[in-house]
Amino acid sequence: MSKNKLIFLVTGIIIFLVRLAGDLLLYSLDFIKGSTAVYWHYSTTLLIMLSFSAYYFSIFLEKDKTKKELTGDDFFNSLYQNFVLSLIILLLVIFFSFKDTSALFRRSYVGLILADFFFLYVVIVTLNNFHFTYRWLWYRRHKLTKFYLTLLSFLILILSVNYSVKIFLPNLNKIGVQWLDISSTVLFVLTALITFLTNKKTHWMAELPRSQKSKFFWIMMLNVIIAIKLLMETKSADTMVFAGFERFYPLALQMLSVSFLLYGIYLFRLFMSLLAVIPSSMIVEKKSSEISSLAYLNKIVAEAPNNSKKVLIDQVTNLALQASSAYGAWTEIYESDNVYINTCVNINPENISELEKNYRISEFFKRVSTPVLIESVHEYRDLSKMLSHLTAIKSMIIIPLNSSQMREGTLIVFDSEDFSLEADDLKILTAFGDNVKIALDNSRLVKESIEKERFRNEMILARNMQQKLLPQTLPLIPGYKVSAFSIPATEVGGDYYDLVILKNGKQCILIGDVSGKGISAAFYMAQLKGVVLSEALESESAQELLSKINYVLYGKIESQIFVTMSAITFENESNKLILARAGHMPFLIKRENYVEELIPKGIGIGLAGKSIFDKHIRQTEITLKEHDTVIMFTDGLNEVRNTDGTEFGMKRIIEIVEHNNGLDSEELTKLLKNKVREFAESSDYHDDMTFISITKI
Amino acid sequence: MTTEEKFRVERRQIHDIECLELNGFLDAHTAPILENEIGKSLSQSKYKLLMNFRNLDYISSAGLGVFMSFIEEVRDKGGDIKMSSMNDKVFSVFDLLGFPMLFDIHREEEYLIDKFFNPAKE
Repeated sequence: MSKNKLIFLVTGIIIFLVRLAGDLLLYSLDFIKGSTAVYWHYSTTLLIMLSFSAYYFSIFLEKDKTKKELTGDDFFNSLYQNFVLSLIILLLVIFFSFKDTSALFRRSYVGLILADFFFLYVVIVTLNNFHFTYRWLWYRRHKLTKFYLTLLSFLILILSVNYSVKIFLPNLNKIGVQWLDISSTVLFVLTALITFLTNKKTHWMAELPRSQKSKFFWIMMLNVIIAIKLLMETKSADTMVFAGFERFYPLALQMLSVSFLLYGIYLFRLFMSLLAVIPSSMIVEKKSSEISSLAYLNKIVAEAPNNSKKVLIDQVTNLALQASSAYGAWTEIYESDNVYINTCVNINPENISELEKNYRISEFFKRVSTPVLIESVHEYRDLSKMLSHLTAIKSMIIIPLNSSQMREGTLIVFDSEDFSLEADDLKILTAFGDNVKIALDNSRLVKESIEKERFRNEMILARNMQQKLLPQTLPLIPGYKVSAFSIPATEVGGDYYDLVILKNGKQCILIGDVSGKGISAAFYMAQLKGVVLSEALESESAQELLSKINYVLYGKIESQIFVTMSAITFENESNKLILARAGHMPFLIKRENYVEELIPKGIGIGLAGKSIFDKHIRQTEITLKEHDTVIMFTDGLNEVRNTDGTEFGMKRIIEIVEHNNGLDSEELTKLLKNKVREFAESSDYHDDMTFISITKI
Repeated sequence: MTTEEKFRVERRQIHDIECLELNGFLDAHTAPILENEIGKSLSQSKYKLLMNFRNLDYISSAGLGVFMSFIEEVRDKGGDIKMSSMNDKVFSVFDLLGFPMLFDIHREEEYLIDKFFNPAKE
């Protein structure tokens, strides 16, 4: 593309130089005014204009292709450029319009060369005007812009044809001339109208800062003057030094005026929209700065969890100052009983420290629980006394900074003039205070949830470790089928079951329930397992094992903690079991057509010393027939409650066991687990539960 | 339901016996209330404690633990914790654990009051 651009530019310059040489040759031969020269003038002028137009069009396409976001500054830069170019042309026209100066160059080589260069300049200004107008119209285009711009180009083309007819038919009759004049005027007006219509997107003017708006106003005024002056001059071309310029450079001046028309109307439309917004522009500016600062505040709030409280409040202080019309600000942070001066803008931190030291001013601020506007500190005796030596503080806004848990600090915004802070400032700063609260809460919640997550991970770890304390698979016991489940209420619990081998080689199944639940119960459960494993090696019966466990644990565990346990040993005769119980839930024995509750005597472990415990514990012997089942469970099972608060209950357990004849232990365990889950309607159990069933096969 | 609504203790004085009437649900959440109440009695050097369970609907293992945590101290000081008027369900919890072998538990409050004065009676 840039190669094409260069080709067009070079072609234009070459043609121009050829034209200059040709002019000089014609002049020397005195042919310059001959009728054949008209063709020379017309064709060269047209070619020069076309090549330069192509050059400018390339620039237009190139800029459109880059898709660069154009700002108000870009607009003003091209506006200045155009302005300077037009100003120069105006000065030249004025210069040449003096009779004396024109006489100086008339009918001389110098005059001719000057005229040629002036023409070149006119072409450049013309194209610059078109380029500027087209470019900005296209940049802020709407759906009809393309159509309008095509139409405009077409009208300009017809206009130039219209002008050309006059040149080539100098002897046209009066009616013909009149028609040409009327049609060119109509075309001119149409062009103006369409330019006016095309420039619909003018709202961006409203967003410009006030300084740029006034700049635009002055440039617009000067441009209008230049345009009017030039239009006048070109309409009365004869009075100029270039009498015959029109003939020498046909179309050049016409196109110049058309370009100024487009350019002028474009600016005029912008100017009109500017007039409409000027009165409200101060408010608009303030609101837009408020909105942008609130938007930035949102960003700060969102990022708050990553930053410290101090950084957050620092950012907020600076932003608050930007959003209000205040002169300065500072923030205090309260931590336990200390007051920290966090941020000071346009005030010496030492002055604040002094206020704190001499008057405990933070106490005054702490009493302010909602945002307050103090229009003039002189109206408050206490305050004006405290602030007497700080002349910069004449009016102030006090914004308490809270998190939802406590008072975190205070933001104080001040101005050096009485009554200069307004209710509007209070409103926006109140919003700041609210947002700070959200930010502080957010950051606390994020920290808490990280903490919680860490705790949860540790609990999961604890659960996995505790699961390993329970048998992963139950060893096979000849003649029996055993299955079990254990569900802690929280991640970890106090239920325990195991299968151990006693000193005499007998297998023993145990179930235990440490009172309470959660972590404390889990610790005792782990301790219990250790005691069970070591005491099993020294015991020969279920009763002896429980008694030994009680002996070890009584007095060693906290007095309010106790453990209930049951134990079953498998005797040498294949169908005989011995059952012992230490305060635990009853055994359920399922016979062929009934379920029996069995409660051998025994006190809970940890409740009484050896003598009392041993005095009361009595183990029981039972014999099982094929398909008979012994069931042990912890009270978490019968105490499961549903959403109505109804207990699952012993009765229901017995019913389920009774009504499901013929199930082996594994099927029964699975069934019970499902029934409990169905009943509870959720897996949030209130206590740990364990269930073991042993079926004789 | 707050813990206070779930569980409440009323006090009565019968001679030198401190009678605590337990109401509602005694579990891990409400156990501290009872602990607190018994602690109050002990701080006033009242060691003869009679727990009346007639209005207690439920007791969990944590509730049972409260009595265990005080009994030693109370007995060392020559006092006792006796329990009366349990409903069947509450009694069965105490019974399973073997509490009747460790505490005086009786249907009638008067019987236990009597026993405070006349410990040898069987």
